[in-house]
Amino acid sequence: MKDVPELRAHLQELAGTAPSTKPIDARARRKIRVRQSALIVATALSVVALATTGFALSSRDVGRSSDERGVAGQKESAKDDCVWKIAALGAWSDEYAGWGDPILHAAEFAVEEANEHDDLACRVELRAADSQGKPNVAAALARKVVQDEAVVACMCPYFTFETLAAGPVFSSAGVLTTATATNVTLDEQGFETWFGAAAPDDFQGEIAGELIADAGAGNVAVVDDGQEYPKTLTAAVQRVLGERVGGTFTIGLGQSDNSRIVGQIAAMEPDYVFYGGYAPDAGPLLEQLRKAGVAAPFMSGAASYSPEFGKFAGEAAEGALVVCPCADPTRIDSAAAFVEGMRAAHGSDPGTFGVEAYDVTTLVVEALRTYEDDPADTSEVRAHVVDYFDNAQGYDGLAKSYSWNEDGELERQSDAVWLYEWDPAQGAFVARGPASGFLD
Amino acid sequence: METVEGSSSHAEEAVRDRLGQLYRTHAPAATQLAYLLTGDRELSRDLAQDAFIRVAGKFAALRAEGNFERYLRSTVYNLVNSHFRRLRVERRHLAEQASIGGAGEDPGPELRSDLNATLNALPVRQRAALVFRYYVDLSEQQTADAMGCSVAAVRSLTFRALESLRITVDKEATA
Repeated sequence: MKDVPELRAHLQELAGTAPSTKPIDARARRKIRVRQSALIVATALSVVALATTGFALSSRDVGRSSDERGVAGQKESAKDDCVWKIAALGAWSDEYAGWGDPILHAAEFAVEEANEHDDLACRVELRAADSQGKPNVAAALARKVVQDEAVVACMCPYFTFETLAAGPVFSSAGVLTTATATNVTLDEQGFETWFGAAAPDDFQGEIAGELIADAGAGNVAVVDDGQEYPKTLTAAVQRVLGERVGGTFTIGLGQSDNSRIVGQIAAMEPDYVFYGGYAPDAGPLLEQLRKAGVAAPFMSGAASYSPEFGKFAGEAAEGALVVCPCADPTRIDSAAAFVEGMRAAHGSDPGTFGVEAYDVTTLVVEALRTYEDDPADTSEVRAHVVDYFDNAQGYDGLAKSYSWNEDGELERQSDAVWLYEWDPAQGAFVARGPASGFLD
Repeated sequence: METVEGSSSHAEEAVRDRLGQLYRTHAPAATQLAYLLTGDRELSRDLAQDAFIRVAGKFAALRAEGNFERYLRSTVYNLVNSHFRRLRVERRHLAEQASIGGAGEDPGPELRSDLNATLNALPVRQRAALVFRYYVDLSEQQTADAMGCSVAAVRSLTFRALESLRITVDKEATA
């Protein structure tokens, strides 16, 4: 090239060979919506913050693209007083401790680990809010949580009914929520920022069906209690097993005597029994089946995965199987440090869904680690965390590999569901491993 | 209930159309710009869409369309810059690891490019100055705005870029 006109021509020519524009798909549109809602909330907040405390959030011009100048300096100087909060909203009070503690403790552990590494632009704190297991409280707390401008993500309701109540709040504020709730309809709510950490219920049922089919059963008794969750499971089991189902039954919820149904099942002479309900009903049912001479293997779903199962089933509990979208970290080599750390902190092994909660909290931390813009620009941080989850296809957590579909539902992989068997010697369900290890 | 649902989905459809239209109007230029700045086909498609997502996300009402192009341009530039900065950090990190391990070779990923070799050899800021001035046809002030630097910096970047390309500056360049 000799002169500027020739340079112009050359650039024109190069531009002519530029690739085609990437199509704008649903995922890109969703990201735009998340950013828009996060911005609206942040703008409203900065106005409130200015009025009440004189503290100004970075009120940059709308549309001004991220200003690279000075960001590095801000990272250094702001570290001391800059805090990002990961909210933990759920039923943390005593009566729910069996469900809540493992999740809360694991999230705390991941946050402490992040601060020990000390490689984030801001210090991370956990902001725990107790929903008391009530949907209306969960929704009210969610509104408070998203108004805290330091909150950048939420390790949020693990009960489905709470997630349904709080989801819209987080979605419209552009705050990521990730949790172990497993109801099949969660992905249909249009929550823009929800990412499930556990496999949905119907997939749990499909895996149960496949395990039963692989065991060679041809005359299966499928039982539920008429409730929504168990029926989701049994419907999936029936779908997979098809003609191998010899009979379907519904027992009364909370009834100690199911002798009529038990008699019908015994008459069917099943070679496998699947029950879709909760431990307090599963136990007595199993005990009565054994007394009636039904020796077939007995399998149930995650709702029966309870340390109390032995109490409900007595000696009949031996060998009972359950499937659960929860991993046992003591059986995973790479989770050794997590297990040791949790033992040191709480004196016991991590509980149900602990390792899954640790995985998704750690992914939030990784998202924060890769954030490069102004740490005080909360709407941008929130959007970045959602983007990061969107793009984290095949993230290798300790429990499993995580990928999400467009609706935030966990991809259906058979290593996401584990098989457990009741061991009377230990008085507990003992992991036999991920279902993927038992399927053809 | 049906009417409510109908009207809301209609409104949503309108927003979708608006967004799609905005994308069709501006995304091709953003892709070309990213391509001229990086020389990487896949990367430039991704960066252009990423920039669009960021800018559209900040235009809550999607009104001031006149400024959209300007914001999009400077966001593309910022993303390209971040990309190269990240690449440098990664390379340095890999080089450090390699030196600990005793391996001598540079394991850094090769920059994929089918851009003209001389042009591509320029540092990204110099290349950007040329592209903004002589392809997008911005003034020195507009280029400075897009790159977030002073007019003096634009002049010096342009001068050094032209010099290393051995291009004679005639009247046209200073006009």
